Amino acid sequence: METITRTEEMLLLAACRLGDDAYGADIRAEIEAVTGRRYSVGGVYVPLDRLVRKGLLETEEGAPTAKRRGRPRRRYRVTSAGFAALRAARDLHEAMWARLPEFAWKRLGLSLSGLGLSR
Amino acid sequence: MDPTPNAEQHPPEPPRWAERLVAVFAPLPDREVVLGDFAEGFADRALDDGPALATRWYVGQFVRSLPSFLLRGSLTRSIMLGTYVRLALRHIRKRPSYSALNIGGLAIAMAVCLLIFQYVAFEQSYDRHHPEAERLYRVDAQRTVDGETGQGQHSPYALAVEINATVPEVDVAFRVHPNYGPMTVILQDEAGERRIIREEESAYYVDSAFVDHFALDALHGNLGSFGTPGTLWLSETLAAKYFDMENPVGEPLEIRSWVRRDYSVGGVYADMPGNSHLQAEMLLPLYDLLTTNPQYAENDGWGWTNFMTYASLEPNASVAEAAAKATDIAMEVYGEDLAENGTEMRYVFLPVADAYLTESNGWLPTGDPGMLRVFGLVALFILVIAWVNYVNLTTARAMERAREVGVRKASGAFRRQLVSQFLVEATLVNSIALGLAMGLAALGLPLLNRLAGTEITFAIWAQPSFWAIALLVLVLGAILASLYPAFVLSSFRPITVLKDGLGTAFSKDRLRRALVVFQFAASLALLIGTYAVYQQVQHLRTIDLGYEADRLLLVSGPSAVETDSVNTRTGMMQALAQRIEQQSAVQGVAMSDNVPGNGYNWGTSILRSGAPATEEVYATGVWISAEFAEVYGLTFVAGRNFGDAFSESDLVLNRAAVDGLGFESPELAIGQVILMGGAGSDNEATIVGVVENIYWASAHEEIAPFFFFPRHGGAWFTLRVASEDLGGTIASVRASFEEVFPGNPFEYRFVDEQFNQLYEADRRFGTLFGVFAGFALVVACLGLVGLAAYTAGQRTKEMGVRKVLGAKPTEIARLLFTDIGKLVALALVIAVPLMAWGVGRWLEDYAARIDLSVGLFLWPAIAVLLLALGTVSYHTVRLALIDPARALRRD
Repeated sequence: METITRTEEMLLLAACRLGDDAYGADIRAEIEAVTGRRYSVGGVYVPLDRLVRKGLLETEEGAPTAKRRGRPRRRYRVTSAGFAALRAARDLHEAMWARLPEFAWKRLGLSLSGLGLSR
Repeated sequence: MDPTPNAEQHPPEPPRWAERLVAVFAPLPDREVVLGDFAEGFADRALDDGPALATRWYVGQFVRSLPSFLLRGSLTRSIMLGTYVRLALRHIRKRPSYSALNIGGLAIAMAVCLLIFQYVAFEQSYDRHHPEAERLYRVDAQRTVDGETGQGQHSPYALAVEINATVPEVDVAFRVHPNYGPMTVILQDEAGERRIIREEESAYYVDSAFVDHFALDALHGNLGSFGTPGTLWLSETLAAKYFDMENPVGEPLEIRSWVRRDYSVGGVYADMPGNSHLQAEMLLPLYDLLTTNPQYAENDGWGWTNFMTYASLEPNASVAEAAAKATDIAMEVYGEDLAENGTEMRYVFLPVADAYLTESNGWLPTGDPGMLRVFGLVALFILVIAWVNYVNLTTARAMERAREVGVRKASGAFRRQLVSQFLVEATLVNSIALGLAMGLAALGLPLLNRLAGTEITFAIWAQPSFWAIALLVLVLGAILASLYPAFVLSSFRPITVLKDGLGTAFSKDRLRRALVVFQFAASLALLIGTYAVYQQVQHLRTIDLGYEADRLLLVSGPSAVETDSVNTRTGMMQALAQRIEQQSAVQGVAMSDNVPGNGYNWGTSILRSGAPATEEVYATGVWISAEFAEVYGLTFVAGRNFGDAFSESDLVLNRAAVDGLGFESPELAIGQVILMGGAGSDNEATIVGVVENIYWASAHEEIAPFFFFPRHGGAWFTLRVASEDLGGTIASVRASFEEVFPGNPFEYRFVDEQFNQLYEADRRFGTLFGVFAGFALVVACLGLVGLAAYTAGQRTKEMGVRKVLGAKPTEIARLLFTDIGKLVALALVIAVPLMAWGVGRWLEDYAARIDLSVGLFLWPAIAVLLLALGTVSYHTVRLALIDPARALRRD
């Protein structure tokens, strides 16, 4: 299957973590809190929309609130294809890391055990 | 602020204008959700930080979101857009000749505009490259006499000294003294041979502060050492001309001019950029000049105004304050004299960056802001003409496209979508044209440089301002050129169009005709302008100077001669004059200090002895030999010429001087005593003759009061030569010259050439104007060609019917020609009064000017009429000769 980008992985993970609260604005806040990357209010919908078109996310209308002046919210939900993509991304990561020889670990200043990975 | 309980029900609301902003730009599918996010964010922040900060956040977020709005908008609209672009490309391809006319016209117009823009930008870029140029000023003197104000850059030696001592606003003031006239440079080559060079490039004597405040790029030597007596700096070009070596620092050379001494090269600087109002090729220490010219110290340094004073202000200092203090200084010195003459004077601090484009530059290179405005207007005209073409051709094609639009509307297209389609098409055509135009402009730049005499090397594409303007032109062009056709076409009622064709839906082409009239009026105006400028320049060049300039050969006197008590310079010059006179082709030889059309002259105030100071007249003059009057063919209206034996106080005036001094007639002036130097001067001269006015300087100005003093010798020979075999004459004169003055450069020119150089700027203006006007005409004609083709197509059936009813081909041709003739006539009515006014204003700058004659407007009008008729003639003739059966067979 097609690999996803780092950004896409980040967004999918954020949606995953937020579960039922995965609204656009909350995903934005989550990404900013964890990575420091600041999407603009309108900007976050560009990659989200791309994920929807790829079938990795799906949307549903959320209930309007007073603060939103009666405007709808859009909740994002990770599809099974989305989960599969996340799994594949993680597998790929681990596989690549696992193939690093010992001296490379030392160069990186990491210890094998520190990552809790099995060889 | 804590959230109030009420906040849940009535949270703070974002400003309506801000919401509208987002609503307009947010892409459709997300609009509500995004608006909700914005509102929610606003409400949260308003509760925490207050509404002002929340509003700032809102707008900030909007700006940051804008790119993604547009991106996402285009993503969702991409299918639509793709369709529009495809359709637009299809239309462009379907009618290649029409598209070529449209795009070609636009591209030519845009290219010309780009070049004009580049030229104007160059003219405005003068002297902005100096370090802290915004604090650098030239101190100009402004004099008001009898309500007339004049400004000039000349100031006395002491001004800078006093300013430095007493004006705290000024960081440093420094002086610049031009080397008026050519200088003699003597070099020793390796074999010990003397090489004498007559240097015409500008040299300046400057205070050492000059090199800190004018951008100079030292290639060899240390600029910090500038000012050491006996060392001078050369531009790269001059250094290469004088010395055959990479680094000439320390090389000796001798200067004979305002200073006469040995020098060594102190350093070499890169040539000053073309957009610098002082083009110094050689810089010498001012100190050397002051020590060798004691006259500058007379009157404590306030007597001679041969200097220019520049001042660098302290940061944030008040310019007005500095100018007022400088004026106070001058009033202490000049106050009494000025009051006596009824003259007001003050010093103004002119920003150096503005110096090039002011009139007070005197003989320094000077730009003409009026000319730049004219060119800006021309650029706008050309661009609008091209846009009008687009509008005309597009609406003219409505015929064909009406059906397409009808079908699309019938099948449910929104009006907005139709408008968008035309916008896309116009944007596409304008973009292609702009791309082509940039290429054309790059190709045309060397031509522009040649015509305008500029050295524009900077790539304008590298400037952000260019892209801003290009974008503006593109957007404006796309919108202006597409809105009218778009709205006209999209407002057709589908039923009418599909049933009746365009006949009823689009019968009013009044606007189209109005636009064509505008095009003709603009073209005609430019053509009239070109013709007027051409006529005026011709007038200047052929004006009767008062002597036969084309047969007067000027030969500069020797630059450096070894003299002793027997062989004086004057004696040697006279000997040469006698030798030259022997030649049969030479009818006379005169000598003089200066020659006509040579720029600066010696000048002073003159006054009738015994008259009040207010009758002073400023006059310029020259010292001449007795033969001068005969060689130049001066006409004596009273009195006599100087004899071979003369008194040094003999004076000959021109008629303007006699009138200016208030003599009732030239005869009455003879024998009268004149004070040279004005009131209080003891330098008396007696009028022995009065001559008819002649042009000594450019005919831009009225002929001013002028005087002649007698002397032997001088700096120039003037030869009256036979008009045959000029080459042979010059060669034999050169041979004699080189025999008498070996090693001296032989420089010659004709007086008429010298005068033509004075009108070089006018000629350039004329050429540029003509070229731009020519392009405007070409663009307008391109539009007309297209329009004629479509009109012809539209009227084919009508002409067929007329023919069947018995119209002759000539009648049909007349009908069509009358049509276009009417438009041209209307254009004439608009353009002629406007240009009569404009040309009249332009001519006011010239003392010797052409009259506004009928011919000035008639010939351009006839040219435009013929051009218009010629352009449409092909289609007209085709229609006139059409076979009615074929014309009516369509449909």
